[in-house]
Amino acid sequence: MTRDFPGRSGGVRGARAWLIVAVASLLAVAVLAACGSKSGTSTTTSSGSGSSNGITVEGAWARPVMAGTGTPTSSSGMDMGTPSMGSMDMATPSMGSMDMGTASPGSMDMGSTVTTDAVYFTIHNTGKQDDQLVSASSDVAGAVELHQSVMDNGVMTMKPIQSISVPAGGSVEFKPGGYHVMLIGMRRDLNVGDQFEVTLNFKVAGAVKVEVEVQQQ
Amino acid sequence: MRLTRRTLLLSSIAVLVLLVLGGGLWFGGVLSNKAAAFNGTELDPLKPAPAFTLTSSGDKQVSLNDFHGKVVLLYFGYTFCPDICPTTLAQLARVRKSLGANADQVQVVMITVDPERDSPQVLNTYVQRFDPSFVGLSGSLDQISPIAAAYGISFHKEQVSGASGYLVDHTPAVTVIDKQGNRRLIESYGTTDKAYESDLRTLIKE
Repeated sequence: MTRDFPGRSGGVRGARAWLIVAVASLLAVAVLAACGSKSGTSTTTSSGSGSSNGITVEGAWARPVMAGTGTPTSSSGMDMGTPSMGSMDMATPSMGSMDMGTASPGSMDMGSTVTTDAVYFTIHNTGKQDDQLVSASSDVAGAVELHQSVMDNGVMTMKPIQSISVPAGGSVEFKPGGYHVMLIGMRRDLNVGDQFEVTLNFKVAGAVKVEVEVQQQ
Repeated sequence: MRLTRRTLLLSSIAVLVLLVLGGGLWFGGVLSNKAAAFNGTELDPLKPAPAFTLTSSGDKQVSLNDFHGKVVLLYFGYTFCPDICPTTLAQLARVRKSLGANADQVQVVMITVDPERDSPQVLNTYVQRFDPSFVGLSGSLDQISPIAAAYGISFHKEQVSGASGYLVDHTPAVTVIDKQGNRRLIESYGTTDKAYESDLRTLIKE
């Protein structure tokens, strides 16, 4: 197919225009990306993930669970009922600070049950600094802790842990039979398809909000 | 002339390749058939599964005998456990479903290792969230401890810091009891769905 002269001329002009548009949009994307990475505060991105300061969390999920009728902190005197998501993260009791000896749930009242759930995800540290996950919080549970299941001589043991290192350039997977964020004393039912927010607090990256999907896996 | 020689060469290579592949497949098949009918660990010698009678929801007394003729998957766990126990129960529900019309031949039973928290009601509400056919059994610690021991399951309460109060460490393995009521297989934690399904299909056919 041959084109006539004016048409060709228009084609050349059109190509130049397209080039300008392409360069401009590339610049715009670059600028936006730069702004995005500079805004250090946590940003919730697509569901199941979140990122901040070199820390990216993806594939966050939890199993469906029913809310219990008891609270895990009935004897502590702390008001865990208000979902105060302030800077001090009251939903995460610091290890060892609470005496649970008198509050073994279910021992007094057969109708009172404390239900639990676990949150799993993968943390990527794309930054240049080693980081540590030090705590987690969420308003769906009375208490949120970092736990690890370990197979010890054929027996599965589970224990709370203080922090989990995420080396620079490395990843840590939270999965069944290993690390998990333990939700204790569910305040509401979680059904398949629901989403809820968990805030992961990192030593360096700070708070990273993660959108968790409820799935039966 | 050249063409036919080339064709001959090519076809003989093809035949060789086919022979090697076929032989490998056949040999592999022979090996896998011989090696293991089961993925789980077979108990040898075969012995009747230790009997038990515990309490289900509505204070109903349930015995192992009640499930005679079915393949029983027996698991010891507790509802407060957020990781291993739901992972296992979700898997058993998935595997049972995968058996299709044969699902009814398989009964999942969970005995609690935390009777303090797990009343029969609490436990059954919990297990039936995974599959309405699942049965949860509770009782006193004095009742449960010897049953667990008879099945080679160890468990102990562990006081921990934080809001849990205590957790219960336990053997996460699943005991498979065959239709005749023998303690037949041990499926360790981490057994794949496919491995479970294959073992169950074999036992259902017996």
